[in-house]
Amino acid sequence: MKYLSPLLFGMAVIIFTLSPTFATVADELLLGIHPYKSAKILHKSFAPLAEVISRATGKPVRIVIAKDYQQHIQQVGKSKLDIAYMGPVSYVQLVARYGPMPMLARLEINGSPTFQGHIFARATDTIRTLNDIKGKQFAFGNPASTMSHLVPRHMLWKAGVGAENLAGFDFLGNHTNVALAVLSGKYDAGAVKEEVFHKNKSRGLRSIAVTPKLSEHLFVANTNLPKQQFDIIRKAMLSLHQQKNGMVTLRGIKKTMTALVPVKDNDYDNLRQILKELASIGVK
Amino acid sequence: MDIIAKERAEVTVQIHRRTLARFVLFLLALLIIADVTVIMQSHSMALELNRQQVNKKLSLAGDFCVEAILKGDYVSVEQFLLAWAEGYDEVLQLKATAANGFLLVNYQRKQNSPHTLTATHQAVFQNQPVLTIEIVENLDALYSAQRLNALTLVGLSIVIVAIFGYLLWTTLRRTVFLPLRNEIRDHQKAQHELTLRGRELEISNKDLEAFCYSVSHDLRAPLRGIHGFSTVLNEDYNDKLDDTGRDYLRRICDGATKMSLLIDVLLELSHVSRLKLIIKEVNLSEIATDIISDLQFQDPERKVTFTLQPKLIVNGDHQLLRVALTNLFNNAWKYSRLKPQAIIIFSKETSEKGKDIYCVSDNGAGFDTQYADKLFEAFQRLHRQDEFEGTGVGLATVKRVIERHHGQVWATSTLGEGSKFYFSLG
Repeated sequence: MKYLSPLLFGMAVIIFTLSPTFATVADELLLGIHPYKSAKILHKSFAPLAEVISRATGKPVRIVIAKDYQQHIQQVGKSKLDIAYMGPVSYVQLVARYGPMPMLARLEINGSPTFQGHIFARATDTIRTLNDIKGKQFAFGNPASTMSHLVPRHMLWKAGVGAENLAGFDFLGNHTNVALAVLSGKYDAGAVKEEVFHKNKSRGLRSIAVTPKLSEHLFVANTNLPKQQFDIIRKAMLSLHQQKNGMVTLRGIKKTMTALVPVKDNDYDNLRQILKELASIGVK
Repeated sequence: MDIIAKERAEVTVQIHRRTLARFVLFLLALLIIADVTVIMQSHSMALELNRQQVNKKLSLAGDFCVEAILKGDYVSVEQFLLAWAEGYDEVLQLKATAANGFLLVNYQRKQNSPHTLTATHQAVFQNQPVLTIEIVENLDALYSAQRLNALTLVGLSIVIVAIFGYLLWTTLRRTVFLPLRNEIRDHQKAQHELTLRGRELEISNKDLEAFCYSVSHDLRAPLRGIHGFSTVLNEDYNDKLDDTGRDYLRRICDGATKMSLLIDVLLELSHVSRLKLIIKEVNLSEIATDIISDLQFQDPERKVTFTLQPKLIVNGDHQLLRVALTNLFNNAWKYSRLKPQAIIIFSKETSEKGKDIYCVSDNGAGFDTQYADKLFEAFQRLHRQDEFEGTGVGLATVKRVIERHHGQVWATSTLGEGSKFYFSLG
């Protein structure tokens, strides 16, 4: 017992030193972003939104970029961030691990709050159905990517094309790599989000299957955020596209974004189901 | 004469100037040919160097692309090649084609150029083609630099040749033309002095001839008196003189006769020099025929074969040419009298230069050719008086006549075999 106090103190010092320096200032809000681009670009992209929130709440807003997706989920789940921007899969995982979260808004891209993906092959190839992909080389994007891996993987599995039925598959890191790798002939088929597919379709791609529509990226809030502040932030977000310079703020985050729209947890049910089924076959 | 000399000087300077201009132009042409050769070689080398550099760049880019493609990172390949093409201003077009023919990158700059270089590189991995990169580079900058170099080189050549030509011209003018002009000026001076002397000499000759004519003419009257009275003395008082007196009287008569003859020939020489020329067509063959007839008439006993070339027609003074031919035929007649069968020929030959040359030849006594230069001087004789009589003025007269016709006269001979007297008319 004699040594317990210094030990606990030492551990507290170590934990404090190693932990990211979040919410150290009582009167500032932390806006967390998952690291889908470089920190520098993300800071630049989200700075106008942070400014909007700051004006609405009267509090300074600091942007925090997580080290990786899992850390981001953890920080949101443990209420270390006041507001967080995240992808659909991260959201589903967040809720599954930490319970329901207050939802602020989701993205509306070109007028739609949902997005799709394509499983495709070269237009000159003989592949016409998902079944034709059996015995072929398949290109995925990032293992954690919704449209370049998880959803198409589920679709293939549902169509009876498991990993074991493929001649091989690789993760090429991003959607465009997948499209170009298939076009270049290194892989027979691949999966990408709709935007990337349409961009490269004219270069010689043919869609084999379209994924179900999934709810877009979203903003969630800390469960401890006062309701008044939550409402102010939500209102500021949902009306942003109508505000002066609002579209500039939105397009700074994503060029094709047209608004931030209301979101409900059940908007992600179909994805939740897909992830659940994938987990049952060991794909996480 | 001055004008002619001046014209000659100008012509000489013109010729030198033209020669120098030709030389300078030739030098310029030579330099330009050398320039063009150097420029073309330099251009080829620059192109080759450029091609090598492009190939090296493509090779490096290809290595990177292979590495990225092997990792499935096509985006990096696309972004890298696009950034690379965009970053190099000289890249007009870049195409990257996958092994299956898919055009992974197709970059086209909004710019055209007539001077381009196309290079292709095939990136391979384990002997399998992975990516073919084709690049079109703009060579405008290279061509502009080459054009500038060419202009500079040609400009420099022109300047060098111009400076060299100017220096050469200045040097030539100092070292050749000015001395030449001075020489011509001196020559003109000398010519002028010579002309003055000639005129003085001409005047003095005319005075001398006039003097000679008056003396000869004035001597005739007293000489006629001496000869007349000597003859009367010999005829009327012959019996009153002893042998010695008669011998003296005879010698006086001979002397007077000889003196009269000398006066005649001197008068003739003077006449030949003073007579105003009347140039017209003269038939030398006819004159020769007349002279020969006279000679045969004077001594019909002599056996002489005359050979005359007919229709020897010239332009000259009939009277003077007759005097000259008379002297030449008289000589031929006189110096061939010891030959039992004398031969006298009058003919025409043509010199190597195409000039007509007339010749009176005989098979007479001939003369020693070492004295040939004295032959045409007055009172110079190559034979003793007792061998062949004469005054020594005949050939001097011939020479004077021919010279007045701007011609030349000369003689060849073989002692004891005969002589040939040639003359030409100007």
